[in-house]
Amino acid sequence: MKFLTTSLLSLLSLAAMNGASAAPFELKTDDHICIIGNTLGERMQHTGWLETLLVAKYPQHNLVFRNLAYSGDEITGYRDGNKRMRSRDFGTQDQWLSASAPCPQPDKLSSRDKEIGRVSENRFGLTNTKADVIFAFYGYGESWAGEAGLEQFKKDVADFIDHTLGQKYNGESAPRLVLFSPLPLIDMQDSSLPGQEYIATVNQQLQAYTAAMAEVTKAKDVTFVDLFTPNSGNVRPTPEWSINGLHLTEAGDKAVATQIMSALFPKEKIGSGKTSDQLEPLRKAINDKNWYWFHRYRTTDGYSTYGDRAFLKFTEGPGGYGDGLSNYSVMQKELEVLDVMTSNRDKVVWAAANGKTEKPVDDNLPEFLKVVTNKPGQLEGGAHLYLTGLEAIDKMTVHNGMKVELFADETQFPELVNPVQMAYDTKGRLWVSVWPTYPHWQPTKDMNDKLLILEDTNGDGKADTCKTFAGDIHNPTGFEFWNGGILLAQGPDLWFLKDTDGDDQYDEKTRLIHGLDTADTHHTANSFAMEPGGAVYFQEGTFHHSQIETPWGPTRRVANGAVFRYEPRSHKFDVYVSFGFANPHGHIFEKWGQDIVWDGTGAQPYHATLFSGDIDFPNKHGRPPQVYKQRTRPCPGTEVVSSSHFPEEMRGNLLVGNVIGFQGILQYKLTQNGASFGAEEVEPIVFSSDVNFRPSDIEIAPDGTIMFTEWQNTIIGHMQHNLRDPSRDKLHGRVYRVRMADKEPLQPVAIAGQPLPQLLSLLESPDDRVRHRARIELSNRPTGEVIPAAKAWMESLSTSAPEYEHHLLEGLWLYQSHDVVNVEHLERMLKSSDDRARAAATRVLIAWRDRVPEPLALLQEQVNDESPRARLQAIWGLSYFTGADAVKASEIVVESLLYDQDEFLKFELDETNKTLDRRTKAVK
Amino acid sequence: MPALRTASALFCLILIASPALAEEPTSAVGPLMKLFESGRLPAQRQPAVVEMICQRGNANDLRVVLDRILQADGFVPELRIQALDWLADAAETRKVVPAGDLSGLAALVIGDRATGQPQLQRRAIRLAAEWKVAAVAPALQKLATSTEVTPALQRSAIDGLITIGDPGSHQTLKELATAGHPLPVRMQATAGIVSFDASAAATAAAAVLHDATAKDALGPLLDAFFQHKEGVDGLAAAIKAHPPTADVAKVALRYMYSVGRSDAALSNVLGNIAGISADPTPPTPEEVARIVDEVIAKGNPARGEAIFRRKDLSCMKCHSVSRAGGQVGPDLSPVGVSSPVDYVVNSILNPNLAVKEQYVTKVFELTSGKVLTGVVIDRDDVRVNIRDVTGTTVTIPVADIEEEVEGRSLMPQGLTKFLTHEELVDLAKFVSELGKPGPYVLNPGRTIQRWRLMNEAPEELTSSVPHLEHVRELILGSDSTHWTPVYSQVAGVLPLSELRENGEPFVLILKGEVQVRTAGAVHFHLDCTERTQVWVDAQPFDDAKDWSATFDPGVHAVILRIELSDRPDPTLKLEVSTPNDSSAKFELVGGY
Repeated sequence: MKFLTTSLLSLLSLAAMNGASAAPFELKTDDHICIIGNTLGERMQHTGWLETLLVAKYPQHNLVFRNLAYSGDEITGYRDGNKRMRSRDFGTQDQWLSASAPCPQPDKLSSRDKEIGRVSENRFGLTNTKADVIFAFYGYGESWAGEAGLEQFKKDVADFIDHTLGQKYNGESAPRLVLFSPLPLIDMQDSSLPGQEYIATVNQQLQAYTAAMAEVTKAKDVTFVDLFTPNSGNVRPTPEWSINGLHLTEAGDKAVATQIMSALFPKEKIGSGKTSDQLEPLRKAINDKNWYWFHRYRTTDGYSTYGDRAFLKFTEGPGGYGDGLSNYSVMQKELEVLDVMTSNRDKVVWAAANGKTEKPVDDNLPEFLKVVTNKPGQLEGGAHLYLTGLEAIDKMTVHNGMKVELFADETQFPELVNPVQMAYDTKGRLWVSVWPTYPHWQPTKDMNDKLLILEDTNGDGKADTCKTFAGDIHNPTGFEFWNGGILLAQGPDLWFLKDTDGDDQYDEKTRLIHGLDTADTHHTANSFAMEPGGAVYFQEGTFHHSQIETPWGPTRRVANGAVFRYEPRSHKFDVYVSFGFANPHGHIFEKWGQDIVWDGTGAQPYHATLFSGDIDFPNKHGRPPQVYKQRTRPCPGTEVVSSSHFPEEMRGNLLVGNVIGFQGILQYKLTQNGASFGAEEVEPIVFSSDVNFRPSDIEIAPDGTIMFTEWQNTIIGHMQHNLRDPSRDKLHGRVYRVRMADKEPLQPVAIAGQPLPQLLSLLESPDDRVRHRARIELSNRPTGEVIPAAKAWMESLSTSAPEYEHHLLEGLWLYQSHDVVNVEHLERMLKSSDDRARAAATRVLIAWRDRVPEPLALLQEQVNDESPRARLQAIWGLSYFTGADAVKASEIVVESLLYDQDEFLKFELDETNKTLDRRTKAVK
Repeated sequence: MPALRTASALFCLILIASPALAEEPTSAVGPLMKLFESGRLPAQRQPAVVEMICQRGNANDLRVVLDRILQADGFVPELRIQALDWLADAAETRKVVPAGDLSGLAALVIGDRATGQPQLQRRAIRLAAEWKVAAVAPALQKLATSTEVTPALQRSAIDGLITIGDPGSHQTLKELATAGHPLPVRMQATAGIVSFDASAAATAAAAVLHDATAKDALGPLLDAFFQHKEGVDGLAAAIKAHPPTADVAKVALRYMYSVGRSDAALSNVLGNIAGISADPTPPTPEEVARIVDEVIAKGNPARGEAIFRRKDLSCMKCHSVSRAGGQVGPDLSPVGVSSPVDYVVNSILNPNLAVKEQYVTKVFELTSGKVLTGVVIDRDDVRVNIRDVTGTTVTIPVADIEEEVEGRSLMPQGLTKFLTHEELVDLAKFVSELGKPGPYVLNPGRTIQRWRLMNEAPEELTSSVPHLEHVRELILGSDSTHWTPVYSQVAGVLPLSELRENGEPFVLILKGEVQVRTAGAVHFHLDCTERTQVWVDAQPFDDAKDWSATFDPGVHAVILRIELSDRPDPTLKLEVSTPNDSSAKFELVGGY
């Protein structure tokens, strides 16, 4: 006992001595450096400045960098699955750092998988991680726990250090660890982004958390780089550093990398004396290497690559499931190829560090496993018979009085393959995202998913030209127009692409959002819809675990099904619906801004107000009553009929695609039902007896006709065939239009480039898509011009116009989409004579609740509204209040019980109460 | 004496309640209580508020509700009954009971206030049992063993004893399980014994099954064993030692497969007694390939449809086709289009091979030892709602969950033991044809697909064409327990011969339902009208072949009374349409 005490004491004093004389940081030959942590670290792999400066400093060291940072990861992520959310069997932090992970479910492998060489015992065996050095970026997400969480955070930092230094990721010795603090939030000098007062509060937290990291690292003798303090003095970061105040641009990354170098090597000159231009070949080589690594580490379709569906096994030859190759063996082999390609590019980096230009040599790649289809066609070589776009029309049954016409197909435009989503721009051109790599890109092949522009230049109802706006994209599951460019989903990121020189090809691209899970690519960010107030919504399905950092609060987390809401102007990002969807596909906003979301797998329609009240992770909403009982499934996409080309009684009807069994577009009449909606089926728009007919997206064209894309594929099931089944068609895709047979389509109205008064008058159009496209055009115009014009337009409206209240609502939405709070007009609309406008104004009130005085008092009036639908929206709105306001909200919300309550109001109240209960408990 | 008792009860209440009040525990329904006691609440809004208080309130809040229940004029009678149920739910799901003395509830179980109000009394029994009010146990024992009370009251009393679970109640249950009591009583008591003495329950159950006939409802008794961790194997051993008749064994075996159970020991014992072969071994890939070839070459989909519809396989209890059938498993209407034959064969032989995301099950083991399996519909911090294999939504209190693990498919493995090889081939052929162009293409939804067949129709309906009063009272007025779902074939035809056995029953009473969304005229066309009468709601239609009725929005019933003649192969097909000049919009009600 005595001996033990003495030796403990001597150990302690040894540690204290080390602390007093911390060795300067250095890198050694052949070091493997792994970067872990949050988005600050993640974004570095795309810009590459830190890595470039380090490799340039140590050109002979053959350094290996692997970036494992991941949006939203926090310091306890090594042990807490809710702070490092991943889809099933992604691999733990320790498995990644040590390059060691077994097959997750070896018992499920087939006898074919088990043949020698097909499946490696260690699925991370070629990743080259094996960390000697770890750079860890933490503290931003954690800081939202505030003052109350600070002590726990210190303990978490200490635990993380102890855990990490207790491992031998390289198999020999403990890693050398460097911890990095967060940066302060940056003032972007943009009225829609965090302002000074807000930033001051957040930065106070960040400062406290930085100090905590400094304190613990000092005590533990771990190298610490403080990025907060040097950026909070007299010289502050400028807006050029960041896209939103939190995430860095390339310029910001470069500046921060330089700061890191001076912190790590305080006595030395930086960058080995080379200029940025001289470093550019090296940085290019590094970013190229990182591109391959990114697609390896963040491989899409993870659930079918290592998760549960990886272990579906298929017959090799006609059949279904069988004892042939599993998804696992096939897809892991592709990851091995990416591992080797990444390592081959390490060599290019080392050459570049020494001024040599080398091309990567990929003569050592493992061979892909050859997948034999389990659904061969009847033609020679197992090919399937596909009708041409025109022939297929003969197989269609069309709504009484309507006809179908071919707008475009692959015979005319071979790049038109697997169309996922479409949308018309304000010039009347049809944009289609196509997905030839579906279900995702195979290494060594071209990454050639595209965003196409189809144009009918002579107005004959057929596309004449096809331009490729973007030809090098991946999994383009959805897109929307915004601010003169395109918001584009490419899981795990959301991008902004813009053409600045007018050649209809993008020349600027920015990653805006990180951390959207891609476990199943057909569950990934899809069904983009823009609400009339300008926010963009998209959805993801089960298996997915997403975590998104935002300057506007704690990391947004959600698992197993969600609809997201994103305000592109303010970069506000939220989980709009957290619900146990199988796989949501389809989202529409009707004329008054109410929305319906479809769970695509079962085609169940839900009125979104019922389950989009605020809810705190990890809770999920209960199952609301459906809008109607669906007759068949599944649904890939939806639209509202709102077109003066079609008979008036069709206006407001829902169009619902369906791709198995019933292959066509169903039509439902939407009706008010108490506080919510009901719908009944009416005559389908079109359906086909061609078994390959798969209508994927639907939109009303500028000429008022119904356009739909058609995927045209013999295989529709994700589960029934190997991911790489060669029968998954990569050659066909169509766009059709449906019109009244005896009536000419409408003359499209001019939108692009029109003067403001003309655009504003389009907001009076009865056709939803005309107003939608006018709003998009208005979103591109300077706020300083739009707002006065909007005011003048509203004043010019005749108060006796039948749609006067709706026009005024459009005015409110325009303020909202330009993020200009107009309390007076909001209050006017909250008292509108039309209860649909009152409900819509309540949604705006919630979006502005941080900038409207006494929002709860306004909601109290809405909760006592005579209209059930207005009350429904008010009950929904009250779920959005936190802290002491949640207590007040819980007192207000019960006033709804003074009035009749249907099943919808009851459901909404229960959901809001659950959220408020949890928050009031926390307050007390 | 009564006065004295009240006084001491009151004293008790004050003693217990006052420290609790002094602590002022936080209430999630403070604003609701204020509203409730403010006098602002209109009478018709009271139930919603009381329900929410019961759903979310703390012990003091629930006390306020209980006091209102116990006051003579605290609530209108209907609300009093509802409030008892809500308090029972609060105790069961959230484990919250009113503060203070609860013995006052006894007055609603026995005594003047209880008699003559059977609904109130039964709910008070449930609640008293949930709260384990000791004072009530002797009264329940008395009611449970009485031969003079109604069967419904006796059932409630036995349930009460099961819940209270004190030694006296256990003793009474064991006594009730013995021979000499009516079979339904013995079954209910035996099911109750499983929870505290599984081995005694197994012995008792074997004796009950020995005395049962194939017509008795065995489900609830068997479920009690299925829902107990070790229950099933004990039951198998007891049955082996004391076997029932072959017919009862066969019914029990069918039942267990129909609820997705294929526990080896029990299925072997029952199979041996019933003379049905043991579970087939899972097929090798080569065997599957051979079966697939046979399905393609010689499967007969028409015969397959008849097999799919067979009661002993229970396919339609879980799977719907053309909107008719259960909602537990996937709707199979379009399945042939997306799924190759191989997939269909494998899914029948080995349902666990691939499960679509929304049908993944969870198994919940509760602290009581009970085991429940189902698909999670939704959940929050208090309860989990699952859909079980019968399609019923079951609420599980989160506080009761000991363990939650991923389960297997709800579809039982080994169903094929009820099939010959040829039948399996035909069944797979039928399923793989579903949705493809041809006779099994998706039904457009214009024929009644789900019928309800009246069980054992009373003589007033069978002996001659009933008058309207009888139609109203005995058909439209009968609750769901009097009806069994029967389904038309994919193409809309209901084979009537499937509904009879040995020529019985002679008269069929069938009910279809139309959900009208927009008012207007709806047209009906019946293919064969021989000895058939038609009523729509309570209106008779003399021309049973073609008729129209004008409907308001809502669910409307079409009633057919068919005297089966000697037609060799009688069928029925009822088509429903909207006349050209009608504004009606409707859906035909499907489901289970």
